[in-house]
Amino acid sequence: MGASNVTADHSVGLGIMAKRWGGERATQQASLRQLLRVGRLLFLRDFRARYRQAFLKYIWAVARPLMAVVPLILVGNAFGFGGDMSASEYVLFALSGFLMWQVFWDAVVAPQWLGRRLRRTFVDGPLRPEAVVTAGAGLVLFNAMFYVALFVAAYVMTRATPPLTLPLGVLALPVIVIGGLTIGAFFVPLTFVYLDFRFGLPMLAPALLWTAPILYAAPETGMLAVVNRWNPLTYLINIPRRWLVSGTTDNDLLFLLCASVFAVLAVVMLSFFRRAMPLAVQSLPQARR
Amino acid sequence: MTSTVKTPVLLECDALAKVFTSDFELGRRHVFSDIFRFGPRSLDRLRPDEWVAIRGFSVTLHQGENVVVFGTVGSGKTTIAKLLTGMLRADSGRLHLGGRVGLIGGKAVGMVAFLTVWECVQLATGIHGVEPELADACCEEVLEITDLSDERDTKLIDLPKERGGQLGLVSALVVPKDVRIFDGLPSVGDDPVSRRVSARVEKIFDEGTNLILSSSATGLPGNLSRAMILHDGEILYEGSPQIVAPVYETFSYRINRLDHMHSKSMEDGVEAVIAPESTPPGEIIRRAVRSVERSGVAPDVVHHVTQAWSNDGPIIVGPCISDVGLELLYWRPFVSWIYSRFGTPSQPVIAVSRGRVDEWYMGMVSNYVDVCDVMSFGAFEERNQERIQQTGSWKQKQMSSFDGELLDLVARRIDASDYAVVHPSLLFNACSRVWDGSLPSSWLIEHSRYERLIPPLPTEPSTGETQSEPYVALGFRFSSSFGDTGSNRELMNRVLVELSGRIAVKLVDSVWSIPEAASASRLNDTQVVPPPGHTERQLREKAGIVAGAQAYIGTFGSISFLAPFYNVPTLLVFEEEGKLFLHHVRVLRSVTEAVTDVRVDIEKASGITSTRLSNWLDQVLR
Repeated sequence: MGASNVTADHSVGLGIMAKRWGGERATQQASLRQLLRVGRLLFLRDFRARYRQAFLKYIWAVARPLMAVVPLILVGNAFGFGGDMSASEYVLFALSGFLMWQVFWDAVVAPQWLGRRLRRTFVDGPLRPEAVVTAGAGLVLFNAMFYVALFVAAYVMTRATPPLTLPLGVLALPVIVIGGLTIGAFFVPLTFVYLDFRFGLPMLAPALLWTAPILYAAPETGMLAVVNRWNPLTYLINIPRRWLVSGTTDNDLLFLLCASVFAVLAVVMLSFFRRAMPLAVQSLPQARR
Repeated sequence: MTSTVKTPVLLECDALAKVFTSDFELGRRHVFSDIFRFGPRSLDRLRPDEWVAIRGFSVTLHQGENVVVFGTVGSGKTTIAKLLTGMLRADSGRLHLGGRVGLIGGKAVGMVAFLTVWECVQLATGIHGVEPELADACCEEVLEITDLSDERDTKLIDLPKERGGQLGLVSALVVPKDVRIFDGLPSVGDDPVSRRVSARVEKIFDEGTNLILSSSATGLPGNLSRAMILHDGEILYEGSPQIVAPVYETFSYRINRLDHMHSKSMEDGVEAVIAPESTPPGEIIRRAVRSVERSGVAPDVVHHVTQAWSNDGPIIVGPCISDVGLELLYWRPFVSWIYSRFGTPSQPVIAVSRGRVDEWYMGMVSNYVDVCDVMSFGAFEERNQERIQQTGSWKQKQMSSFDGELLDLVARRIDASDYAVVHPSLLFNACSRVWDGSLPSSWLIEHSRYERLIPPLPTEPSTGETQSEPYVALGFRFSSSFGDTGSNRELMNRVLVELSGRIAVKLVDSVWSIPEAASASRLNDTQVVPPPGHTERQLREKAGIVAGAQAYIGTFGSISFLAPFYNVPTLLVFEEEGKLFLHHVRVLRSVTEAVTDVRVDIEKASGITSTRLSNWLDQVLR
């Protein structure tokens, strides 16, 4: 392992929760750079593996979300999901919301996909568990490039004028990614032990998607409004989406609050992830051969 | 005045423990609950099907130190390696790492067939924790060592398998680390790539700060500071490598034999009621330790030879009537050592052996007497079998009544009423003490002198046309290291057929089914010469065949040990590691170093593929 000067006190059950001493900033920076490098290499490995037998290669990476969003936009427009929005406004609204959701969801599932493909490597070699998360981030960012291109194309096609808050929306993307990775990292060790989490996670996607006002204008009253209010994705995705397509909202500060919560959650989750992964690897069938 | 410089501690663990579950499903349940469990767990309260794989493992590694942990298969070495490198989480204990810790396990981590060689090496070194700024230089070094610089853009799937075989190991070796954990010693051959790998490993050992987890006491660095013996997850013994290594050799031999006997009895459907099993591993260790500490030397050997050499009458060395392999590896070199140590005495020295092997003792003793000079071949065979039954061993660990009878007959033949004897039991008792750990393994090397043997002179005019035709000698026989199994028979026949396809073959042993040999001969239009007949000259004739061969292939043991003494390229085959007597292997390696300048390979039967055999023959039949 790359980290130096580490003490792990297993007797108090802290696992890899480690005390680092001395001027370790440089070491930690080197460790992070190393982690990012391995993550990039693992992402490339996975990417090659996924499309190695496909004739259309990487086109599938962009085709999947595009094919998913187009029917939603058509149906949403037909049924007036956008409320008093015009058709072209709704296209921008729904597409941007869906693509941000897709970035979030990619971040949730990418570590799990990569983790499962790296089971043998975890068993055989000293692969740092966090590399799965950085590799997952690589996959999310790669997909995000296509989503941004789609979004720009939508702007061009609808001839809409971007608001001044658009850069804020772009800056919010890393927060959304970290939020997704935080949840994704929680599930990686669990899917190593029981595949139920892998099968069950996709079922959560529609529930999360429809309980936040991503594809429809947020209602002000009623049951759905209450559900929207309690779903953190409402603030994590809806507010930056508005920055991208229409400007500021009254709830902008709630995004910062939501980001803070996810930041704290990310630290806790990283600790849990580091502690849980070696145990989860131990439970793999490959570890018993 | 001396001063002690304390080097920093780079690895320190205290009472590490790891619990596993035997049942897979139950194990997953336990792991799932452990993931969400915060706080210590007690090893005294194990859940159903749990067992303690590692218990109380502690080690401290200072900068520059090499420490070895010996352990047989399944003792917990890999689990310790994984605990120390963070791949597994300990259930209790403390671990302090004062630097970057690397794992050298030989496995190619992260490499997949559709990546290029360069990408694979980048990934593997990355997983082993190379710093980004050093990555390219390390990867270049990997390619240089593995001789793959020209193949960097070749996909792994297109690379011949044998060329990429060392990539994983070398990728782990080149990454700079402060502490390295060797999970087993890298096994390397003698090709240029392997030599570079060995050099790299040696360099790492020279630099120190390595924890070596090994199942073998061979191939270890000379600068070990401490050694331990691990068994069933617990350290049973710890001390200086000079003591621990021979103790471990004895221990592992006994444990492997017990395992072998146990599995054999299970296969045979017999209840495992084997007396030595009642000896707990700790007791085996204690006995071996006592023996090793008690006896650094065997003074009785020197004392006895001194007395015999100062005798006024003739000195008889022998009779050597045990297995020919023991005679070659131990007895003949021991007699030679006696001459080098005590000089040539003024009285005549008579070597007594069987099989008309005069030349083996030529130039050393004054005279050679064959047992068949004093009794018929049939009577000798019968009496020797009785001796083996009476003493319970091929080895002459005691002077049997038959030995005494032979000595009297020899004395009568040389007309000596007063004679001294250097009997093989003197040596074989010392050998037993080496094998059970009472004496260090270096004792045998120190009391042996290995020399090339003189080939037997032809005693009859040549009648065969193949006298000058090059041939390979084939000496397969069934033994403890090569059982009479279908796969071994299949291997023997395959080797015979493939050999006879390119060169004449002379058989040394009679285990062969001659019709198969003959059909191979007819098939390939080459000659397969059957083995010598069962006569008093059989051993001599076999020696003649081995000495004149271009190469020798045969079972590890017995007459197969003769080939290196005649400087004949040799391939010795064994069935599995547990059946191989490692002391013989070590002595044979010493022989090889001392007397041969040709290849002498010892290989597992399962590794003798057609390609391997063909490559080996290509190398030796130049």
